[in-house]
Amino acid sequence: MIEKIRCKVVSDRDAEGEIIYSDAPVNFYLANPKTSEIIEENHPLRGIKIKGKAVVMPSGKGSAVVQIDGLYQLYMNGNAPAMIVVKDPEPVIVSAVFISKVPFATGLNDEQFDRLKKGGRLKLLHKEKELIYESL
Amino acid sequence: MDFEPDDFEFGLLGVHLGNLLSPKDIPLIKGVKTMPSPEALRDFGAMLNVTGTTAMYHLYRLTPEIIKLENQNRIPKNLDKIHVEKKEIEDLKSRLKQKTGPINSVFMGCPHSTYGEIIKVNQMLGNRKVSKNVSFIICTSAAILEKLKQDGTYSQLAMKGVKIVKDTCVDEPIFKKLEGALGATNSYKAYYYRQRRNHELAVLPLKDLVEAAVKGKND
Repeated sequence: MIEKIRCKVVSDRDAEGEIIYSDAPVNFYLANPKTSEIIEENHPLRGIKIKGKAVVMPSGKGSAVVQIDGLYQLYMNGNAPAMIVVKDPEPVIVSAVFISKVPFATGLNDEQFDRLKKGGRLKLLHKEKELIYESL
Repeated sequence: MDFEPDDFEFGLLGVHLGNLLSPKDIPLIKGVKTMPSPEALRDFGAMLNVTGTTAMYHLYRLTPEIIKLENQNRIPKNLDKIHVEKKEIEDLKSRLKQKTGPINSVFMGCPHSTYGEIIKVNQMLGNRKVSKNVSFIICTSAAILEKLKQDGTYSQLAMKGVKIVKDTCVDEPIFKKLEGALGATNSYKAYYYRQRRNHELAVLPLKDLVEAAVKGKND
């Protein structure tokens, strides 16, 4: 099934990737920049590689410098996620995606966001401000 | 809350609540009777923003804005409630000190240590020295370092094996030689970020931290 979702976007390009859904906020500093694997103890995404994926998460977390540093190092190593989709945006994650040039979407309603948990693929159309969701 | 946290527990309360709150939430903390120390407030705010993202908080009847809102009868009704029991903070404390054995390092100053904290470390050490196997590092500001040099504390602590460094952070590559082994800290934030560098840290209250530094191990 394919669903079009209106959203708010920070990106100058389109993006596409398989959904990696996290119930917990993500701090990208706790990802290995060489492998893109999440290394945070007890995190639901621990051991998962996020390179080229559409990371869907409730929010970012953690200090400003490390969040930006983490995403930027992933980007510089060619291991950034394809896009980040966030339920509750906060200034740190928004600044981090600006600097690291990772496409970013937010502004989904709760039902739309919860449906992404089923997995599948997301395509971000930045000019149209739309996510195209292809569920599993 | 049904208890009055000490300075260390205030940091852990921040860890606990950071896990529960969303970025939209502004917590109003009820149950704290007296204004916490600057160190407790520093650690509470910092740790809220390690496990979560919380832009501001109020302490009921203590912090200025909430006093003003209460006087104007403008505190919103029907707020969502989170009850925090002492046991939850005690459990977290137990989990964080679990990593035992010889330690190669002690890190303080994440966020930067205050003058008062560093004086306290000097007093707690007394005539004792830090174990020769332990690098004891305290990060603070240039202004505080200067004050410690002027009053002699800096040289006293240096003689006891404590290094005070200015204007930097515990999570830096200059501490690379300490990676890959167990250390200790009084900061959840230091523990959390140094995971990235394969440096495990037990998180201990200040008194236990100083004892671990002298013994060279976390019991």
